[in-house]
Amino acid sequence: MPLIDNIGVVPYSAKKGSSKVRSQPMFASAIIEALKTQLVACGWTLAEAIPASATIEYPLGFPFSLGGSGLVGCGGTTVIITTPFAQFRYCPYQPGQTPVGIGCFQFALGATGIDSLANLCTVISATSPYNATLNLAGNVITLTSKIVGPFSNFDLVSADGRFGVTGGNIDGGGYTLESVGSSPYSVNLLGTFGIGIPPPMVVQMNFTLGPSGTQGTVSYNLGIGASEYTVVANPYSFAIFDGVDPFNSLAAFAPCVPTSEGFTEAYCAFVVGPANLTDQLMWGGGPEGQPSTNSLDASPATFADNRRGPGVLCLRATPGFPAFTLNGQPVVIAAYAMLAASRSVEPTVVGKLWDCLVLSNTMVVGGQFETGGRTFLCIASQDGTSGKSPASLLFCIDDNGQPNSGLDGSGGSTDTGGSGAGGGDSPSNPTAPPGSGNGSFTGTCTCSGSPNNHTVSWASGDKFDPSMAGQTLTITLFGLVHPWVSAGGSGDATGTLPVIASVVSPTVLTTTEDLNSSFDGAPYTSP
Amino acid sequence: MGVRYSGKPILYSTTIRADTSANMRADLDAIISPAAVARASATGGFKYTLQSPDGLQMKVWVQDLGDNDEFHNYIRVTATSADEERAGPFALLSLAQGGSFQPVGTYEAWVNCCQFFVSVFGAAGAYNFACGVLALPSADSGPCTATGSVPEVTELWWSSASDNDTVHGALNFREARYDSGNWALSYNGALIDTTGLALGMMPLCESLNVDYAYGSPAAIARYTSGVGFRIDALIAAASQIYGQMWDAHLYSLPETLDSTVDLTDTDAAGNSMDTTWLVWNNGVPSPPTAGTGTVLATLYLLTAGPATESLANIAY
Repeated sequence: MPLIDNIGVVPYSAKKGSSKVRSQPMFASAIIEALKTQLVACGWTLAEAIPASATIEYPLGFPFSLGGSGLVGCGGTTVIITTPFAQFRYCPYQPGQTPVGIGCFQFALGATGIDSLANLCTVISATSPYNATLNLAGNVITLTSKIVGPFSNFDLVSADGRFGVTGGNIDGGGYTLESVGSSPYSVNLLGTFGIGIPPPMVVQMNFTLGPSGTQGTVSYNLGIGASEYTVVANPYSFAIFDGVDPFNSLAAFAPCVPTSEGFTEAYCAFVVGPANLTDQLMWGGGPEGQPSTNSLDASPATFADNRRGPGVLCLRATPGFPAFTLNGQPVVIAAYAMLAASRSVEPTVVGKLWDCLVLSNTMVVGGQFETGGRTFLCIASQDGTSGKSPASLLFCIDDNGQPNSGLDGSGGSTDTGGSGAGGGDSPSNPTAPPGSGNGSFTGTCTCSGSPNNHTVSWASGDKFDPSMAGQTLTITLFGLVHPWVSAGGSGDATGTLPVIASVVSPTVLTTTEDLNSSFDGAPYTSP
Repeated sequence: MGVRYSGKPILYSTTIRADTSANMRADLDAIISPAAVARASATGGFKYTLQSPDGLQMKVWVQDLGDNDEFHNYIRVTATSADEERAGPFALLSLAQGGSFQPVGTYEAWVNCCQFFVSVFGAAGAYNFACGVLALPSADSGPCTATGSVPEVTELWWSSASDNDTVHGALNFREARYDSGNWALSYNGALIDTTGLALGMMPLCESLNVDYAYGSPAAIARYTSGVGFRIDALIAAASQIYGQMWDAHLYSLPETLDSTVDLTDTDAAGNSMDTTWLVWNNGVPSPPTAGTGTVLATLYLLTAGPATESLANIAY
């Protein structure tokens, strides 16, 4: 074994990817669905699709049959179920009466209150998107969505307050997914409500991790804030963030533990709790002391102590300064994961994060980076304030044909850490810092569109660079209609815009063809 | 990356006499001269031209210029550019004075073709000096070159001196992983401005402010087995990584000063290579919560292969 730890050797998994999802208008459901889709695509097992549900309690019982006759309409509404598309109302009638209401579903009262509730359940199950079951012991009706997954989350249910009591919210729908590898863990992705006035909608993630026999479950809530979230994933890890509010971020990792490099074989998985991920590279103690959860050959331990991780290592130059090579480029090394099994013990370096690099400079979270022929996305970055080491954590989202490491049994070629293909320590084509004229650019722009005005104005992200001239500009439109978008119609779509004629300034470029419409806030990539 | 072996002779002595100026200069001459490509007379001593395997040069001057105070007489050691246009801060190596003021016993010195380290044997702090030419990134591998061609480098040397010159109380490469006072780095014909900066070896560590002295102790990077990391001995100042020390590496754990350890390396062909390494620096930070000193990075210098004498010639 070489004397020097080759800090450039990166374990690359066989599957990896990223996606973006807009939280509006489907709120948590869209995020859950996107995350599930990405994880399954990366080899995670979809263990369970969980339907949304709610309960209605009848602690004082329920009316029963008195008998009657004649016609009866919609009166005395007992239960209302409201979805984005329809409303389902349920009204009782006395046996002997003839229901004629057309604005509700009616059910006959029974000989006892329990019988009445049973009848109500039967009608709800027959007419609504929910199955209703009755817990006879507790006089409790449980509504369970017939559609499994997150889509029924946040439907509403109300009950006649004289008898029924309900929280009013239908939630808890989602999925259970299981990671693969030597340190497997599972996560429930559920839509629910958090704490607040009014209670905010959140994505609840219940992680079950730990070695067999000592597993534990920890729950975190991902806030629903900005309009767009980014998901990155591989078979062992995922991260989700909006790039705006650190509280709207969460990640989980099970590092690669190559014993041939000196690591000790152990179960190791950890969850980076909200507010920790995006602004720092040591994650046990966010801006307000938010915790993370570590499981290192023991039951999961949740604590906030950023000296004990989890986190990744970096090369430290002069305090507060990034580290550039003689070429003026930052250094990239493997993402060594350091964490402690509990707050009372010292952290150790337990492995390397799959598909991840640590860059010795600050980057925009969500920005892309090219190196070694692969495409990475920045998922965390910290500056040099307070003496920190400026550094960024990059997650590979596309191998672009480069081989994986084969360490995960996928049969890929071994990454030797040398130069060129597969050499994780060799940023052969890194994206230069914005404005340096090398690599790809991402960001958001404003396109001005009149026949004689071909201007694209930078809004945020990487600024334009003269090297972009002659390249095409790819713009993604969100929910807009635009003739350049081949998909046509409304909805998210991507199209290739005209060739860039010139870069007027770092914030303005022109194109060779007309921009005959206008829209704002369109993310662009180039070339 | 890996250790940048110079493939040139390495000389190491722990018996540099400090009893007289003549003896100290003679002993230093005996160890530097075989490694230097040239030696010339200078006022009160010699100036030696060191040349790296990359062909870059610098000079180190060892002189008796009559430096003294009421307690000590000193030998002066200075690093300069090969053209002698640029000089780093000099170090004063105290001679033994006898009586209650006798500050030192013998000195130790380590020399290869392009680096020179000298200090009181077994002690860190005062009376030490180090300098060297940095290795350029190898042409075919490593994170420092794959981004593109290496800029043309005509000069790249550094020096670190104990606090006898200008900045008292500053750290140096004998007692810390960085020099915060009397250091120099000359790159392509210009000394960089050292104001407010430090010349640092680059440890692999957590990304927080590991030098913060008032929080929790900086977490040391070590494997779960307790073994530390051995990484390239990169040298940086401000935002710039200038290069890598020859015949050296960094270890992420503190070690005993001047102790040695036998380690096996593997060459590019996969062959095992037995090597011996010397712990050059050791410093306990004060207060102990900070990552200063050598808590996060110990400098190891190659001394020899076990099968050779103290003169090693290890090609890589």
